[in-house]
Amino acid sequence: MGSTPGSPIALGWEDLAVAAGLVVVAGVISLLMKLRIERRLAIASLRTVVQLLLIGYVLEWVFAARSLLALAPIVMLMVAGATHAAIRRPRRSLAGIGWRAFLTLVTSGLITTITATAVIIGVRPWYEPHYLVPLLGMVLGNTMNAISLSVDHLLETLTERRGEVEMELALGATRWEAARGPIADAVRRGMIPIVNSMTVVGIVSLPGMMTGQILAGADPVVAVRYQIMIMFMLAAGTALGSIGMAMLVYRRLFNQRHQLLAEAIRRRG
Amino acid sequence: MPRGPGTLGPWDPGPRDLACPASTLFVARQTIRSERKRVGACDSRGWTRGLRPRRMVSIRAGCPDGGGRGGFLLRVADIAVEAGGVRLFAGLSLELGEGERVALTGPSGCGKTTLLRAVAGLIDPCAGEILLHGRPPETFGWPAYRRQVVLVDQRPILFDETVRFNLEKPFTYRTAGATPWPAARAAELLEAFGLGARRLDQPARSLSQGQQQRVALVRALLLEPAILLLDEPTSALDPESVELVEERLVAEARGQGLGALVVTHDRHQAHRLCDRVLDLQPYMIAPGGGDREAAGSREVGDG
Repeated sequence: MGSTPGSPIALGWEDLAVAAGLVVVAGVISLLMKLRIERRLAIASLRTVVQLLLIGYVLEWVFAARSLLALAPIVMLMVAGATHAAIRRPRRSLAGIGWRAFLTLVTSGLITTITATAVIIGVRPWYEPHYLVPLLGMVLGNTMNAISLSVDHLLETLTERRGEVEMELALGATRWEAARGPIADAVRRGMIPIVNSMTVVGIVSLPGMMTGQILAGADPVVAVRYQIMIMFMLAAGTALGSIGMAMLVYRRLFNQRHQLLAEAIRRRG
Repeated sequence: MPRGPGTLGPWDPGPRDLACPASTLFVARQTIRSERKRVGACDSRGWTRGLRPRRMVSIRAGCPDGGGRGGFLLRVADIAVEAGGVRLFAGLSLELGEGERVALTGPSGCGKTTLLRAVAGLIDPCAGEILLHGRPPETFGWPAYRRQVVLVDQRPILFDETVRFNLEKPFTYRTAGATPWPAARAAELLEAFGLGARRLDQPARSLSQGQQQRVALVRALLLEPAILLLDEPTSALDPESVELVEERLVAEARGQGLGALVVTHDRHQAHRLCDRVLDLQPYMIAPGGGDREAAGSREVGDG
């Protein structure tokens, strides 16, 4: 299969079968060493194939349609998926966390993505699915992790250090003064992964998007510029997401009378 | 929340020859609330718990007459508290004059700590009202109110920082306004509590439990509140320190008119520290509100 640089080599089914062989090797190792992850590995592999094939066809259709009406349900589905994943992981939860995560993800995801497509890349129309969908996907993926981490940290801190927070309130602190420390910690916690990956990008890891563009035959310098934009988008998205979510949780857990409603925090069980 | 139909009259505190009738207006009212059917608020028979003064002992004759100096400092009327859907107590009232100290005693778990937390506004009472200088707390703003009515937990909670940081922190809050950090008074209070100003730069959590409890007391006193809500303030202290703390609290009350509600299990401490002892006793309120079952010897009078 010869090809000139500059155009991607299409993978056929037989090529993917070889790639699946890699997973089979991992599965065999698991069986031999009794790691007992072969079942989960098989299911995960199957899900990868089915989900990606499905989304491939859906995207093909959406890209062809190039209409906001076709795009909107896809965007909502993406956000809903991210919401589900974001609120499943924290060790503690609270009533109404779902819509808060959804709202945060929609807002932070759309603000950064639309800024990128409409202003930075300047593609017309701004909702051109070729650009919007993958960019939004990347922002959502990272923001949902950030939200998970910051919510987990915030609820954990407010439970463990409830005494400290209430002590501050008892000494005349406003709810914001009492919550400021835990909120800042939570936002910081949510942003650690992206800050870490921004620090080592290009040295330790070549980001997937850049790798993809280079594999697709793009000029590395062009790919790098895109990657820089994306890292900035992710930084903004995760910051907006962590802060937004922490604030929504804060508004839920501290009332007008400057009380901490710690009973609202539920342990996941 | 609408008040139920059957608010009974005040509980007669007994013979009127108690030392200070004006400030012994403890009234235990049974606030019968229409929505008592809330899940968990009642026990299996539908009775709810009330908390009432079983006995009130006036220790000092001629204790400050709160009513005489332009009204009571603090007035808690008909307060009822629920936690997790369970009615902890209902129908408790008390009034506190300037410089007056009232000890709260009663069996463990009867709701003394919860009562202090409710008075501090850290939890919402589901009925009743709190007035400071005759005004509801929201007119001050809750943080400003709490700065006047400072709760000191039984288990001292200090930041994992130096003692100085712990004492200075409340002066960074907005409610502190432009109040400068009273360094001299801090040093003097530490000295008075047997800690010494040299402790200022020690990590607070390296101190013993008893020392931490005193630091927490100093921190509260530095705010110069109108009222201290003390939850077993000397539970971790050695006898000498107990004496130092008690002396100082009484001096602050006489000098600055500091009032205090003190939860204590120590009858002798109650007598040394306080003007009155309010012995609380849980009792049951019947579902209909008309009947009640007194858990103790004394029957609640119908007003």
